[in-house]
Amino acid sequence: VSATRRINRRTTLRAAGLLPLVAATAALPAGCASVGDALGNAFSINTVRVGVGWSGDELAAFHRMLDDFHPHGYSVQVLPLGDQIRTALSPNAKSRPEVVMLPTPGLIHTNLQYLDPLPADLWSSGNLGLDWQAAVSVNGVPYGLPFKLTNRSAVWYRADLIDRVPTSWPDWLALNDRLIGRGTAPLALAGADGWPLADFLSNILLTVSPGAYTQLTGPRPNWSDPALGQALRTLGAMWSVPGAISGGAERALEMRYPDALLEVFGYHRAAMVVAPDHAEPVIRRFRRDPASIGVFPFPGTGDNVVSGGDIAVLRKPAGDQANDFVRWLAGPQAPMSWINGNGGFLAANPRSDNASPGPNYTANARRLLAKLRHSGGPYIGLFDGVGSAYGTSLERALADFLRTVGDGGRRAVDQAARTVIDTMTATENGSGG
Amino acid sequence: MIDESRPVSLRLEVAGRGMTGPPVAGGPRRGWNRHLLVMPAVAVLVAVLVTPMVITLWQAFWIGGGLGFGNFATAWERANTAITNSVLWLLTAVGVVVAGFVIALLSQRLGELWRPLLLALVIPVGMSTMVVGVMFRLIFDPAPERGAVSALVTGLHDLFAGPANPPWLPPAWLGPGLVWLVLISAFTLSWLGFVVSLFRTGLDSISPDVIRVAKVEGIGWFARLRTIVLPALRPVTAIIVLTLVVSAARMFDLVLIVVPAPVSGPTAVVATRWWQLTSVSGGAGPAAALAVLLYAFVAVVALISVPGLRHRWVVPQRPDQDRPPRPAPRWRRWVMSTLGVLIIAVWAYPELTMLATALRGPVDAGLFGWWRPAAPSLGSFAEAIRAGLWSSLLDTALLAVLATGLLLVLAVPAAYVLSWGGLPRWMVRGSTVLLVVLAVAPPQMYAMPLGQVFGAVGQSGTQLPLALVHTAAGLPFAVLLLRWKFTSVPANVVAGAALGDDGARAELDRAWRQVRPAVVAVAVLEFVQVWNDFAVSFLVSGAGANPLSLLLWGQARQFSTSTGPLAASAVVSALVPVLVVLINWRTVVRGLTGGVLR
Repeated sequence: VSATRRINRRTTLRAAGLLPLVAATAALPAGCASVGDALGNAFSINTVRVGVGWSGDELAAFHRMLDDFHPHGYSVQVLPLGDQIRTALSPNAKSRPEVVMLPTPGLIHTNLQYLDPLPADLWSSGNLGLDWQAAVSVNGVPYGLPFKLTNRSAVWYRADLIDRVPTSWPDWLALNDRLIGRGTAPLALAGADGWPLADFLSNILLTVSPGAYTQLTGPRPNWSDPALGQALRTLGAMWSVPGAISGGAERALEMRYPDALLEVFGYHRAAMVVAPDHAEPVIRRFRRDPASIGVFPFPGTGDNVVSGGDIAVLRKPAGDQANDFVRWLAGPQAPMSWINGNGGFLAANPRSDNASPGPNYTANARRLLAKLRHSGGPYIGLFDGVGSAYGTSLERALADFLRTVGDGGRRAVDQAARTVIDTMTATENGSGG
Repeated sequence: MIDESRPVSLRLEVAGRGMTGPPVAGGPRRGWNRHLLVMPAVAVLVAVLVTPMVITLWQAFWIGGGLGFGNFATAWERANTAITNSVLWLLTAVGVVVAGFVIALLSQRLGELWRPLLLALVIPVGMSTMVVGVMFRLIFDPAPERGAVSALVTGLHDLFAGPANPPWLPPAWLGPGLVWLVLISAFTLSWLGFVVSLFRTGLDSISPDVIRVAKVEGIGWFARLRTIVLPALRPVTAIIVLTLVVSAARMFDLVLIVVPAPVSGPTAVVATRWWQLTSVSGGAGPAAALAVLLYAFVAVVALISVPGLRHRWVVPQRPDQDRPPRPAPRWRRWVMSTLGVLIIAVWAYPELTMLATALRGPVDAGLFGWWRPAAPSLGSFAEAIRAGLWSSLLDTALLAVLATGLLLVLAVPAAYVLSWGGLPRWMVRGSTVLLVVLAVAPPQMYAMPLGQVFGAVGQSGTQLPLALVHTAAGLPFAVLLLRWKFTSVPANVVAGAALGDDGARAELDRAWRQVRPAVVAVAVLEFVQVWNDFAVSFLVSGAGANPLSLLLWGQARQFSTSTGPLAASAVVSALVPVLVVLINWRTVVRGLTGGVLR
């Protein structure tokens, strides 16, 4: 009797062993209505593949936006490429999307041979702001469609700590000293991601010299421009004040961008964070005190704004369906569900502002968008403007800079600034790794 | 030892010895066409593994106008930190093997605690490296509000030194020094269960009588270990060391998910450095050289362990009504139980943290660790689903089933031909060595050329080619394992069947009955490996591919604000492979410890 029972038990167990396999294949479709889509995607049939660099909330918002889109005869597959978006155009790229949402307009000029021009009527139909046209065109032919704009000259702060926002650099240094005196760290810095440090530097450089800024974000930048040295020394003057950086430099270097937002608004350990406009929905979600969220323009930038954008480009060879998709993206209504749902989206298309039903921007977003529309330039962020090779070097150089000058390293500032310039020059000359 | 109360009796049993050769001299007549059964597997291996590997070799040695070692010099110059780190990782792997052996030895005295301990140790074996990485990022989060270790250290500091202003902050767990602790803990958690489980099976297979006799002879504990236990464990040790050394050398995803960018330089390993080099212009040659170096090392380790694996190692059928072990002194039992419970607690903690975090709302999970009270919520799961969890799950399941099915279709006939196909002996020997060398090939050796080919034909990021790559990667090991099971069928049975009227059909029939457990083991290992894979998908299809591990990686870019959905996705993605592994673990262990080569 016991032998039979054991066999039964063993047989049952063996059968049960395969159960998860069966469940995984059979039960899933019940929870997912898109088996056809999945199979279609599996074989890339009639699918426009769109490479994006977004993740988290932004990726989800883009997916929701696409839910409103019912194209004829094809489906849209989103490829979340993360940081690899920068290499999505190179011939070595593995997942070859037909449409790429490029965060670095500079790459248009260096990868022209892999791009198809946009449909000719897109820009002429008055859909798009003219200021970006030069940045995304080559010989007058537009290759990129700005879709989402970013205002990178924003400082988010806790309104319960700061009653008068600084408008100039000395103002800001004085404010920091007052905060340190009261026992609050003024700044949260996301040093583990390279771009927040680069944004900080970009803003100061724009304050120092818009001309040098244009030179450094253009092709073949000259890194020994004295304006850059001055900007780095200015930056060092703020970062090297003891107690200025929440947790100190070493901890800032393991803090990622969302951690810095939480440091200020979730844990109240710091008073301010330099972060782009799209930080707002994240801050609103994780804030401790809803009344305390404020934003001021980066002191000293005046009317100018460090900007960024996600620019749709067509990878060669782009079919009719990819063209059709870009045409839809250019429409004023396309981003409406993102703007009104998740938020943190500034429409590149000026006609979106007056569309009906219109965009429901928050007061902060409206101000940041207005500044962006009236700014000169565009002054694209140093990290995004100069292409991927420089971006990585700049990220490392600035992390080293922060490590050297942070926590009272005032005397090391001059030397550290020279090191950054030397590193970037070496990268430019091709000897850097 | 003789029970005086029962009559002493002597029982004799007459047993025939199984015939070891065919009953008729000479081989059976076979059609040449059955050798064709091996061709699909060979074709896939040549097309998907060998050809791209030859291309990588070519790239590694090609410099400008000729062949040379220039790329290797550049690779060393640009990656010496990574190479040193990888060597340190190999030492870590050996350390894990030793720790696992000690725990396996101790576990023999655990009594009923052994089963829960085994369960706690084996659960992480089924998890992907990404999931393990997520768990350790949760535990070692630098913010004392979120990371348990940071909170504990801060609490202790404030208790003894008093609260400070500005608040005292815990050391940088993910900084250049302590990040090693996090990485090594994660690696140990992933692999210790495998090591302990296999060693324990090996220890149990040593006849207790041999040990008893040695004890009676007055041989000390250490001498017994050296002269009896360790030699008996040689085959299983070879498998364990091979598996761990290969996985330590190929380490990639763990470093990628745990280490923040500014620390990535000093903690780079060969695989991550290789990946960085491939994205730099002019880096293709040195990257290929680095891949070749990595492969050469792993292949040498594999070839060294071949003789160890060849040892025939029979697992004796232990009688179920085993003599209960002599009760140990009370204090020792107490120490052993405490140790066992401690290990169970330490091993279960990361999983419980992940589960508890997944069951908090996204905002609660993002701001505070599990110990802060919060209303239980399925909000994180809902958000994970909105972020594309279902479609990733579906794609992963499709990929894993496709690859596993394809693997069985290719591997079973190939193993059949290799064992009974009447191939010349040198060919079988040679194929074994070839298969061992192919089985340990790191994806860096074939990913780049494959990715480019798939990209050029517009098929990258789609499942079918990816499944083919997974199949090819798992094929050598599957054939080796299956071949061993095929050859363990007594030769006279096979020969008899082959000479009979039904011929091949009966032969296959018998073979199937014999190898069914091995087929299950192969299928389970392939399914779990593909389900948990990150490196192959990522390197062949790029970040745009849709498997779960890539979804997790994408979410981890904004770790703190996606903590809830990330933990929820991790729980869901770990559920299927962990169940598959747990339910089939005994079959898998039996398959692996039965010996792979002969």
